[in-house]
Amino acid sequence: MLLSQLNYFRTVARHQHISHAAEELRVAQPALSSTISKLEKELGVPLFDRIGRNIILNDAGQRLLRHADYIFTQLDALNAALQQTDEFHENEFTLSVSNSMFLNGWLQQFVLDNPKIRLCQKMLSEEQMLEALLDESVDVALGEFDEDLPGIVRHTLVEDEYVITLPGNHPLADKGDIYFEDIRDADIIALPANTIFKIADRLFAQKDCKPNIVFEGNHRMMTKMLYLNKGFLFASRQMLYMCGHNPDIYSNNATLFPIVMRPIVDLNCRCSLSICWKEGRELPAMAWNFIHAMKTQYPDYHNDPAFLNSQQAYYPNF
Amino acid sequence: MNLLQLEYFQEVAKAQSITKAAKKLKISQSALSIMMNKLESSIGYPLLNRQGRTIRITRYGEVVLYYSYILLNEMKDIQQEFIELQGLEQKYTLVLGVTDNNYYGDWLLKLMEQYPDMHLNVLQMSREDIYRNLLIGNLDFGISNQIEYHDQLSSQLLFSQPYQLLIRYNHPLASKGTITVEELMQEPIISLPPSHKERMIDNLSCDMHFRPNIVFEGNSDIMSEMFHAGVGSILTCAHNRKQWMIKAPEEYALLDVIGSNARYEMYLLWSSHRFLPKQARIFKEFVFDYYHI
Repeated sequence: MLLSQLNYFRTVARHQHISHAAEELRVAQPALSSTISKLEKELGVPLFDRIGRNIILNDAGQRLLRHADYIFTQLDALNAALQQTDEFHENEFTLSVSNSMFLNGWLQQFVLDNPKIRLCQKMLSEEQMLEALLDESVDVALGEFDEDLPGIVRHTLVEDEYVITLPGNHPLADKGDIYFEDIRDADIIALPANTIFKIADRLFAQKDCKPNIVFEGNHRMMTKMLYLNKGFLFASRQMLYMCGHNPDIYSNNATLFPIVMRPIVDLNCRCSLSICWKEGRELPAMAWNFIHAMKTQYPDYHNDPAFLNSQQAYYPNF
Repeated sequence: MNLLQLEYFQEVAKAQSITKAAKKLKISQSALSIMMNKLESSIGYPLLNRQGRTIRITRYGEVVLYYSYILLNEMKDIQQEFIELQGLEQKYTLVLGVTDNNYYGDWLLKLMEQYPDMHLNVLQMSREDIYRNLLIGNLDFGISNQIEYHDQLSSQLLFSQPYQLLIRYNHPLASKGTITVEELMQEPIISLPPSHKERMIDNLSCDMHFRPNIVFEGNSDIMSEMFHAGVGSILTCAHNRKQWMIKAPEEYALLDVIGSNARYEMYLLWSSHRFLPKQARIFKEFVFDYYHI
């Protein structure tokens, strides 16, 4: 018995009329008649009573119709289930960032623009991210990667630099250029990130030193520490810029005070914020949307004149 | 898509290999490969993930697999129903899914004695699998000691009995007739291993919030041996206790558990919409008769 035979049977049963059914199915009437006869032969009993030129569905036909209807509802259910799986699958992806501050304000808009998204976000260090990308437990990673990695596609979003941030009233703020000697032994305040220690460590290692990190906390606490002269903040410009993108911070009307951002002139502090995924991997559609949106809409501090012009005395919205 | 493709797809999914499935189906590997490609293109989604030698079923494949059982089992039902309609007999293998038949094996034996020609497969599986397999038509009946409502399944309570602790005649509580939670917590218990999904001791301890003092776990034969060697007591119910009481009745005592309304229950489950073949109707009648329903 074939599915097509059952479909023909259902149509004939509904019309109880061969030529009407043939019309609906767009098949020749004799072909349809012979399909029904074959079916009756296969099942061993007639399905219709033939009275003159009329055909009437009999008890056996009723029985078959119940099964046939069930089969076709299940076929519809199969198609619906496949589409649902598709939607489910294509809208789901796993993101990882090293510092959720990089997503401040931006991710909220993306989620609002893509209401079907099913997002899973993991905080991982850059090293953990690479492993997770390769073993496919994470689809897309956002972090401060500074070199190309085998098996990973890396797209740089922001060419960035780690800078020293200090209160405007600090003696060093008026000094002009800052050299490594000025901060070698200083107390360092770090943004709460998984890898800040690593990155600060790596940058300081150029001078065979280790940063003396004394405080790690959220940005509001950190700013207070900075204001209380408890140390210098060592962070990337993009990180500082994104701090200002947190709507929560806007609404908390904290006291504004000038903060000075200074590069360390004799230390290579370059780093870049990159978005990465596994080479050759078939990512769900939503992940590609995300990557595309990151590439085209991610707020790069270089494009914000207000931020660039305020480098001497920046009033962060902490 | 046609039914033969679905049938072959089931084999590929089972074998997780085109080569092995082709061997089993006695067709060439390339023919099976072409057939699977055709199925995939007619469905419009990838069903098989070919990674080197092994084959993984994709999430779309899982969906198709689920419905392939529904469709093919329904086709079998049509054949069965029309064979009966013509007054013909055909061998039908009744498939029964049980969570644990340690507690009610006796009527199964009786059924097989009474109907020696009945082809009956009894498979042990989790309650979730019983539900799933009933829905896709792989099982005719399920037996489980707990049920959840499902609009496509029918159920019948077979029995409901309070728990009892079976002890030996020389046990200090033997003359008392009852046991409290506090006493039960101390009592060394012999039980089926935890691999059995629905152990009586777990059901009861869960209801009464205590940690049972299980001193021995094993299958029913060794449980009986250990019980008679005085290692511990066995939690049972009226329906099940005969299994352990193999010696003269004076050798044993039964204690009612005080402070719990938990009961041991057993339900028969079947699909509401499916046509029940003759053998299945006989089976159902037999079970209902046995439990006086």
